[in-house]
Parts: sequence; C-alpha cells; structure tokens
Amino acid sequence: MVQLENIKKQYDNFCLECSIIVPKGQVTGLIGRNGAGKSTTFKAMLGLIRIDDGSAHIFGKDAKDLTAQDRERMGVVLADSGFSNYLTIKDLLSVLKKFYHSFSPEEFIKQCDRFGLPLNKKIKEFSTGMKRKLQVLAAISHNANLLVLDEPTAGLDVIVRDELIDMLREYMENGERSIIISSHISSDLEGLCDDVYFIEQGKILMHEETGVLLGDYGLIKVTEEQYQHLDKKYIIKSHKEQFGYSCLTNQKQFYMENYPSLVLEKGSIDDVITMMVRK
Amino acid sequence: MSLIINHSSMQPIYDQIVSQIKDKIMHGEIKEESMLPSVRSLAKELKVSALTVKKAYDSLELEGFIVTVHGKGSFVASINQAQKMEEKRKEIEEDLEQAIKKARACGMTNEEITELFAIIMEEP
Amino acid sequence: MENSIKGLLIKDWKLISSQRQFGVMVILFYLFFTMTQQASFAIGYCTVMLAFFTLTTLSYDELDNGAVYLFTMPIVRKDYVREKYLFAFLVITIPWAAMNVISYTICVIRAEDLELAGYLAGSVATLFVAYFMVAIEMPIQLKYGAEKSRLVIMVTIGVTFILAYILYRIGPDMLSNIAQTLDDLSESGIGAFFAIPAVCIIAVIMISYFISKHIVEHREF
Repeated sequence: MVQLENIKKQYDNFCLECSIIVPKGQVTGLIGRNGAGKSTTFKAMLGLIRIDDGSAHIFGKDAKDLTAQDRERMGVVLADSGFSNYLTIKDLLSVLKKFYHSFSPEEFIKQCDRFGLPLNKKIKEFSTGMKRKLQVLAAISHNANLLVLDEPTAGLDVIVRDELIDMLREYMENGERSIIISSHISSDLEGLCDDVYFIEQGKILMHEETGVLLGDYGLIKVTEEQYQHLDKKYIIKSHKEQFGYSCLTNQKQFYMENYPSLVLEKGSIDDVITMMVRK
Repeated sequence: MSLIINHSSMQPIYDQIVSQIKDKIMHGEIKEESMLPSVRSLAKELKVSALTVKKAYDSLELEGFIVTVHGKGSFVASINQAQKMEEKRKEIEEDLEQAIKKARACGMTNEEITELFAIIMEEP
Repeated sequence: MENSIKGLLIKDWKLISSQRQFGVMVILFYLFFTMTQQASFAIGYCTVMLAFFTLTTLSYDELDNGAVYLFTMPIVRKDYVREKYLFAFLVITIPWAAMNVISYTICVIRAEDLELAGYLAGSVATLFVAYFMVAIEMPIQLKYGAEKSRLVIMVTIGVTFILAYILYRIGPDMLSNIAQTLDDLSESGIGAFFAIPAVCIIAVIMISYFISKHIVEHREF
C-alpha cells in the first residue's frame, strides 16, 4: 500500500532519511519522540512536501502523482490541521458528499450521534476530544483503503483514546484495509499495530513486529558484578545505571532459562525507545 | 469466545491464546467443527495485534487443533483420542519435570527421588 | 465541473454565509446609497466590498492550518486555484447584476432620466475594477498568506476605491467623449470601447491565474 524507499528530505537543521513499507491488511505504527520526524514522513507520504531523494509510492503510484480519485481511497488525520473551525458538521456533510463517492451522510450522522458530536455547532466550539473524534470519523466514513493517521490520539485522555483505537479496530475488521498511525503514546500502538517503526532524529532505529516486541523482548536489570558474568550474546543495548546496568534483549527466553534469578521485565515499546535513544 | 489475556505476563500473548483455545477445545467448551471468531474480530476483542492472533491460529492449525478454510474461516478440527492423549502426556511430562526440578533444588539425590516416586506409585 | 471544485465551492459558501454581518452591511450600504440617488456609487462601492469579501475565504483556509488538510482530500492543487477564481467571479458578478437590475428598475419606476450608456459603462467599469482587485490580490495572498498580505490588501482596497470613485465621476463624461471619438472612427462606439478594457481584464486575470496556479502547485507544507 505504502512504500517509502530511502526517501530523503533536508531541512535547515533536520534531515529525514528512511524507508517504510505498509503492506495490505496491516496496521503499521510509527513511534518516536516529538520532533523525531513522524509528521515529516507522513507529509512525504501524502505528497504535501517534495522529497529530495528516494521514492514515495502509495497504491503503487508516486506520491506527487496522486489524483483526486486516489485520494478518495485515503482517510487522513493530521496532528495540527483539520476541517475549518467555522463550519458545522451539517455543513461538512454536503462538502464530504461531493468529495467522496462512497460517503454516506446517514451513516455519518448515526456515528456522530453514537459519539455525541452535535450536528449544528461550529467546530471551533468542540472540545479537543470531540474535534479528534470528528476527524477520525470523517477519515473512516468513506470506505478508504488506507488510513494515514498522524498522532490522532495526541492531547486526549485515556478514555477517549481507547474509544478512538476501538473505532480503528472496528475499521480493520474489513480485511482489505491498511493503517499507518503515528503516536508518541506507546500503549495506544501496542494494542493495535501489527508492526512498529521506531524513528529518531529522522532515521529509523528499529522495525519490529509488535507480537515479537511484547513477547520476546525484555529488559534485564543487573548489578555491576552480574553484568560482568552475563552472556551478552542476545543483548541489543546496555545502559549504565545507578544500580549497575539495564540491558535490552530480544531473546528473553534465553535469559529466563539460563539466569532465572535475574530481574527481567517484559519488553514494551517505551523500553525500546528509552534504551535505543538514550546516549 | 471468552479468552482472558494477561498483558503483563511473561508468557507471550500468542502463546496465551494458543494454550487457552487448546484448553477450551480439550474440555469441550468449544465444540468440534464449530467456527472460531475471525482473526480480526478476535484481535479487536482482545485488543491485540491481528498478526499475533494469526500467529496463534497458525500454530493451532499446525498442531492439528483447528482447520482454516480460505474464505470461510477457522473451524475446530475433530480431535481424535490419540491427539488428546498426546496433549495430556505433554502436560504430565511438564508436571513431572517441575517436581523433579523442585526436588533437586532442595538437595534430593536421584536415588531419593526414585524412591519417593516408587512409594507414591504404590498408593492406590 | 469536477466534484472537487463543487465541494470546495460549497465549503467556501458555507464559510462566508456564516459571516452574515458582512452581507447585511453590504445590503444596507447599497440601499442607503440607492435611496440617496447615488445608485452608481452604491453599485461600485458594494461590488468592491464583495471582492474583498471573497478574499477572506483564503484567510479562513489559513486559520488553524486548515489549508494543509484540504490538500489531503480528493482535490488536485489546480482545482483549489480554479475554485477560488470561480468563487470570486460568482460572488462578485451575481450581486452586481442583481444590483444593476434593481437600480434600473427603481429608476424606471421613478421615471428618472437615465443616460443608459454612461450608466452601464460606469457599472461595468466598477465590475472590472473588482475583478482587477481580485486578480492582483489572489496570487499575493496565496504566496504570502493572509496575515502578511494585510497591508497590501489595505493599499489595494484604497487604490481600487479611489479608482472606482474616479471612474464613477468622470466615467460617463469620459465615455461620452470617447464614444464621440470612436463614432468618428467606427460604427460600434460603445461596443468597441468595452472590448479593449474587457480584453485587458481577461489578460490580467489569466496571468494572475497562472501565477496562482504555479504558486499553489509548488507550495510545500
């Protein structure tokens, strides 16, 4: 669905260089700190910026050649841009109907009701959570094959985040769809994404399946002495700590079996970020 | 399907799914030839990645517990007695391993363990 | 017409309809000036106000970064530019035509003596002035954003207002003179006179459109 191959984009004090693939029927996550390059990657995907090198393909086409028809197959949520705040949902209905062939106003109204979104109020009077829900609803309301979601859960409380992620799970029940979603809140991604790309300072640090991450990765905490005697064959990265060392492994079974007395924590996306990013 | 996933357990999620489904099949909670939920609806229900559920289903199919018909779904295979026995045997082996490990951990020798085993075997 | 352009038109229309106050103000101004026998001036002033009004939709798009999102929807960049010009054309021309009809009807009812040619000339002139204003403003706003181009807008409004007023004042006289001169040259006096400015305006609009199209097609977000 999406294929970014060695794309490169140079800004004044930042350079993006990465490759990402989103296969059909899969949910891919992009996680990184603020300013790591998530939004820039999305903009390259959507043809909002030009890339200096490499190729960006969506639906097999170059991102800069996307036609209106191609864009009908995409649902987008951006982090800091959305529908004009001076419109009401009612206004939006007529606009969306014209833009998207597969948009059903009745269905949309039903969903708005379900999520408590008022039809006749101007969007600027909505709370942040409501605005986000509206954006996500609009993105999934026209049978798009690909959802491109840039931090759709940012700034929302945990209940609303849960509701939104559930909306996305429901959306994926139709097997022909794909999602690429970015966030800096890892718990959102752990329960939804099939694989995750870690991005930092414009580069992909790691790419791993969520199941493997949560199942095989682990964080070992050892004293100085234990560290010296530790078989480091499966240690990806270590950090000096106050108590000794913390080590990231992708074969926690090995350490569970051979060093049953060591403190070993289940791997998480946050742990991976912390370990891979810290100097 | 009422599966309960422990997200903070050391046991990988797909493993939990596999063992719980296997369990339900063995105990007849899920009848033979009944249809399992689709990969994605189960993923939604459990709030886990669809790939993880697929891995679990693939694993179950490999072990012969379920059969996937392309385009239709996954169904519980007709388990024959031999398979059930095999499952039980594996469980028992694990239990025995655990017991022996424990025994060794507190210093019992192989003779002492075997002796203990013989005594228990004689009990009705 | 592409669905994308229709969709954008609906969006812009809904945006300015939410600005009822402006519409009411225009109508009031028009009525006031018409009642005080300055119909031509009324039409001129209101038309120019409308031109300014249509440009505000550009600033609405800019608000809260809305423009970025628009370009992820099923539109092509070319459509966005086309719609802006089309929208301006409709919002300026239709009320202008309506105002002319109303004013003319009022004059007929009052059995006023109206020098049709001069009156029409003045009216069409202000229409062209409004188009001219939009043609100049559009690329500037597209390139520099609504905020930065505010000063330029003020200046442009001032200049066009003055131009409109001048035309209103000397328009009919100038035209009568030129019409005389043209009569000497050809049969179709007034028609020929309109032809030249019309061609100029069309040229200006075309140039403006191509510049705008280029700006939008190369814009990065």
